[in-house]
Amino acid sequence: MNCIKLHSRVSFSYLLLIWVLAKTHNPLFGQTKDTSAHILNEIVILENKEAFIKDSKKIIKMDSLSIAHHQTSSLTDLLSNLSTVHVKSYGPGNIASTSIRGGNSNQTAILWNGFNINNPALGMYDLSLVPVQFFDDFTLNYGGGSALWGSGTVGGSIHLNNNPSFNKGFQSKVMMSTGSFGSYKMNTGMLWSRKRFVSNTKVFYQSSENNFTYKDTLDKENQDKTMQNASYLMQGLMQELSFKVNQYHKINLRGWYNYAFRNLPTYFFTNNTRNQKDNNLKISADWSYSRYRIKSITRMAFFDDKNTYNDSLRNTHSKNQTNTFITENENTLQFKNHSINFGVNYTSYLLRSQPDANKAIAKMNELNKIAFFSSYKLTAFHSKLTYNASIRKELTSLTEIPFTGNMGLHYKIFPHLAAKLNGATSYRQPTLYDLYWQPGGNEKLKSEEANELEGAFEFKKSINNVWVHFEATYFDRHTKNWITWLPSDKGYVSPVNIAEVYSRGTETKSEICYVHKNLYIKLAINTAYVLSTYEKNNQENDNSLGRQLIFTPRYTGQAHLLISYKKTSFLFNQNYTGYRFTASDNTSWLMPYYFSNLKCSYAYTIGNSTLNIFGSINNVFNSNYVVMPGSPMPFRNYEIGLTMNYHKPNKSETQKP
Amino acid sequence: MRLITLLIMTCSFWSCVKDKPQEPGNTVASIQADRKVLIVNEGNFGWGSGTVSLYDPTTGAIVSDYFGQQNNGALLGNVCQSITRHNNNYYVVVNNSNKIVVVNAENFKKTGTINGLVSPRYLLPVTYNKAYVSDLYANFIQVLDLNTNALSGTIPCRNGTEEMISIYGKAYVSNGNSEYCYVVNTMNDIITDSVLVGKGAAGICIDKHSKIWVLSSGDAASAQTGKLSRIDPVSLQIEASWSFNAGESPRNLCINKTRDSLYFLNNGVFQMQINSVALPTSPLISQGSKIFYTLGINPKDYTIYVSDAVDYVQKSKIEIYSPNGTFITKFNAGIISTCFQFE
Repeated sequence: MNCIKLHSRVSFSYLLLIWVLAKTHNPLFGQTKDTSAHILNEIVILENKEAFIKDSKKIIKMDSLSIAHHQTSSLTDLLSNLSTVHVKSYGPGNIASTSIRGGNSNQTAILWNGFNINNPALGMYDLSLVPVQFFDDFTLNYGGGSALWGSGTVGGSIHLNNNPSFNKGFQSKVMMSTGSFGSYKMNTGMLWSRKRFVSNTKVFYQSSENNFTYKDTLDKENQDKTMQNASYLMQGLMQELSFKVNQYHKINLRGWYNYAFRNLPTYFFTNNTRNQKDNNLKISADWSYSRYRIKSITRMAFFDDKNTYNDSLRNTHSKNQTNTFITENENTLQFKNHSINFGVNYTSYLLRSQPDANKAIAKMNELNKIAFFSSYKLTAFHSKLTYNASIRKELTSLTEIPFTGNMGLHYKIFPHLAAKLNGATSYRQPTLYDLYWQPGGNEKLKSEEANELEGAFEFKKSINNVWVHFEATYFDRHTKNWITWLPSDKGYVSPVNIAEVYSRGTETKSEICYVHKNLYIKLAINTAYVLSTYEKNNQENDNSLGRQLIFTPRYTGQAHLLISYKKTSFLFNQNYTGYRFTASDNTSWLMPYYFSNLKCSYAYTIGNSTLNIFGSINNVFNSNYVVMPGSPMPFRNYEIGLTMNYHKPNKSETQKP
Repeated sequence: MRLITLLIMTCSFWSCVKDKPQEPGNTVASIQADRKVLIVNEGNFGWGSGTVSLYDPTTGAIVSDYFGQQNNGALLGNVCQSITRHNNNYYVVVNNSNKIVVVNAENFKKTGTINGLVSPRYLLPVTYNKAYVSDLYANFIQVLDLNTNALSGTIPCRNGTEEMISIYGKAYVSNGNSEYCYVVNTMNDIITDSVLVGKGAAGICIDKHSKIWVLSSGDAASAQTGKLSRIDPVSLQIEASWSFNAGESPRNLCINKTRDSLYFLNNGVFQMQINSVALPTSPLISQGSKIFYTLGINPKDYTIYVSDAVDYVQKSKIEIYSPNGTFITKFNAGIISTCFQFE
């Protein structure tokens, strides 16, 4: 049996490697680097603490070819198109947040190379401010993960990683596109990759009038409308520097700056002018040491997030600035089939908020916390069984934070069939606004606490050129102390730990891949069925007991088909999102919606240069839909663009067999 | 293996519930009933549509969206704030949609829309064909020509104007952002005077002696407590005033049909006789864990109507109490019920 298992694994890996190598030597639309990263990622990910629990949890890693088709997109589009994560988008370019496994946007952590980048004042990160082209891989971790990642990892976490590739030579890229509604996008990149040094520079710019027409089903007298005051401009820069000091030491330095100016449309009802300006600077440094069976990583980061909001009607001009400082040391020891990871994390937040820019009052608040964490992993019975256990205790200057832990099992019942079981406790610390907002902030708030259990069966098999992967998961999570803002008897709203929520459901992941010579076909189907209901009546007139949380779909489904043949590639995705309630007593709702996108590209290679033409049709079947109430989405729209790549390999790389 | 396959299949289709929600049934209630109550429901700011519910106290029947029912499912707009009856019309003020929807009082069919407003709150007819509209953000009171439904002028003042009343050719306009209640000459639409009533004024009414009562909620930022003031409309002097405790936020001032008893919300429903020398110390109706949002006194039978907004994202519960505070019944209206119109 083991021989068959080994053979099937090797055969698929071999096929994948052959296919990737073929791409590497015949660069297709500038994806040379991306596909190479696909292989390299398998090594890099093992170095992180994430590897300790990955076997027993549901983790989806976006494939590099699908990511390559979204190089001009934001994380909003990538997640909307290719996952069952419910992205609560207020329109193209507008604010977008997530709902994973019935949690809210505060309960999803966004991590950049292991650093939690959620805005500490808001407790979430706007997905529209994350350009896909800045990152090498995207991983979705479903379910609680506070034992590893700390606060906010209740529904799940989204990991954005940069994986520097050494000794790749010189690469440059210019990508330009234009699309419907006056949209223009430009990306450039320059990679200088030597044996011991890598410099990777990425720049993006995009602007859009965003003046699409839509059908306002709520205004029966005047349905045909054009979106007003929705234009946006975004630009950003990421610089990575990586040094291999020697075979044991590696240093990474990264800087990421984002600027966004967005007019915020007022949709159906109002006629005032609102806009928002975001300035986000993130700087990080990490040093890793790896020798024998010991790995140690020390990392530091500083984030400066500024946000300005203007509302002409209400004469509101508010500003807020948050500074985050994180330093962490993480160590891994491996001894035979035992692995231990332990470390310490110190995080400091500083908030400056100015509710009215016309008044010279700036509130300053800070929050500091220190966390100790440890994980253990055991591999036994000839790698049939993997067991992991993690704990984390966080101490802070204000709110009490519970002890969190994770325990998981992965067992291969048959060579192609494995069972997973994972139990996790997680928490979400109140945001700085929850604690300090004036008036109404509540410094006595407790952290939200969740207990989750999940179990899954996973089937993986390769037959000749075909690879099949199926995974079915059931999860069950109770969350208490859920924070809700309610009016107080003092005449303003204030957050309270009031709700209890029971989330449970099933998820399936089905993938089938076919690889033959220059042909690669992948069909993926993902489904999620999530019941997330209120478990406690807050008062005698409350009619939400047992009802589904608002804006949380019970059913989501997603399928995508990727076909790549020689120099041509197609990606088609079809998504379904079911009813979302807009009232907690479930008496009003938004209709389900479907949307489909088609993306294609063709590459032409001359020597070291590759010219790639790409195009996309979004909302292919002209669906009239809204994701969030009062936020219409555009009908069918188009994008066409061109990418020019230049790649000069290092001599040592070209001399490889 | 078969067992495992069965388990996987079971996991995949775990006791799924039907996704399509159940449509609410239609209830029949008629506006022609002798006694009826119109309830204005705000809807959620920015993304929900406001509604007007119709309640028949005789039968207990409720129509959740009476405007929609009478107008082929049309929506009123975002954040319905108030309703006023005048000249056989109802004027429904829709705050965030910057408009007033005019409907026929007989059948609730829409007859017109007054657009071009900034952030309207309340409408006060001051003559047969002229009305004032208070506004949250405009630095004026809007003057309307009710014959043509056109905006006919403005009365400059600080933004934040709220409830209004008129007596003896003068309109009294409360203002949440100012410490003053404005006195407007309704003949020439000019502010002729103002009375210091404290910050956060929103409720105003007239008692049986033609005295004007203004309730101010106070302002935590400037450490001003809430205040109840009685104004003499002739001398424009404050005859008496009472201050609330720090941290209290009184609001929703109402008066009964005989105009001798005041009611307001202050973490419960309070009742105060107009000849009382002190503020009431205990509520007539306790709020408990509920969130009392608005208050109304039915002039037909003196019953007390109070809305509980619950969590602000579900249908409000309307509770009815007898004049002595005994609970009678309750029913669901729309999201964030904010105003009662008794007929």
